Amino acid sequence: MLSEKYIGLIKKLFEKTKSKAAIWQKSSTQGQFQLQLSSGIVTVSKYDGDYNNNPAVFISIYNASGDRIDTLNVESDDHEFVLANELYSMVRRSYYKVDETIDGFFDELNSDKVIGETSSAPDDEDLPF
Amino acid sequence: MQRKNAIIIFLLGLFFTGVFFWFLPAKDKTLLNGASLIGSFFSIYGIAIGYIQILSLKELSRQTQVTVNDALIRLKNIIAISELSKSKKLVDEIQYYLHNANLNGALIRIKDLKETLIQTKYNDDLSKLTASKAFKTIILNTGIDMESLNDSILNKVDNVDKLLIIKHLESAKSTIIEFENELKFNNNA
Repeated sequence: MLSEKYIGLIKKLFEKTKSKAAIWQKSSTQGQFQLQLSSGIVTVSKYDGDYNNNPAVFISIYNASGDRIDTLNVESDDHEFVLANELYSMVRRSYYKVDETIDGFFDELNSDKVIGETSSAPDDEDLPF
Repeated sequence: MQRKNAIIIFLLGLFFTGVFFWFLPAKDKTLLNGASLIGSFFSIYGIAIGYIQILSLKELSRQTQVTVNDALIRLKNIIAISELSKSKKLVDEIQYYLHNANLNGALIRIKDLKETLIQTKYNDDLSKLTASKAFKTIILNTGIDMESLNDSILNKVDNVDKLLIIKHLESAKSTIIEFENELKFNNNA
């Protein structure tokens, strides 16, 4: 059971990320993302079934000296898992710009232009001499 | 120089005492008055020399203090430069360990690197550089990379993005070189 403060933190992070007001970066652990603030860093990662055989979302807090000062392990049977999982998904989508990419697809698909790129013609493969 | 001045003052004083004695009325030109004048002159001369000596000692003490402070600053700089050079070696070592997938070795060295970076944060001569956001990011990334290595070793899962750590290390090395140059060439302290 997470404290109100941590639940508030997750909600705030979610809102900021959803409104595209948070710049997440990749961290040195694969599948982990980090958000740098002036007083430290927050990282979010997710393990699908390889943590005690249950999916879990990890939220770590680092202070300004780079020390990990707290880690929240939100497992699938925790009440807050849905919230934490939504945060992770939102962060991942924000980092990879999933929505922007799909919007770009729609823009192209809704236009009257011919879409797609032709593969290089066999003539182009000839050597220029 | 001071000895020369003392001799000049002594001779001038003796001369004026002689002149003063010379212009005394004839009835006062006694041996006793002459001895009194000479005695008074020596007393005043002694006090003056004493005062000059005190001023000279004070100046000497001030100069010694300045020299000691300069030496301490220089020593502090030498130690800081030596620590920064050690950090560069640490960066190279960590990269070597990562290239060879030796996470334990990399973890030990990255801990040393983080310690050195935090020490550097408290170096007054580098305060302008260490206050930058870039340096704070380097410390934070080093901390996170350290925990990533730690977690990977403890969980026995190789999920560390070594390329990203190497990228962070390169950035740290560039900053360390900048600090080193600042201490070597731009430090006017």
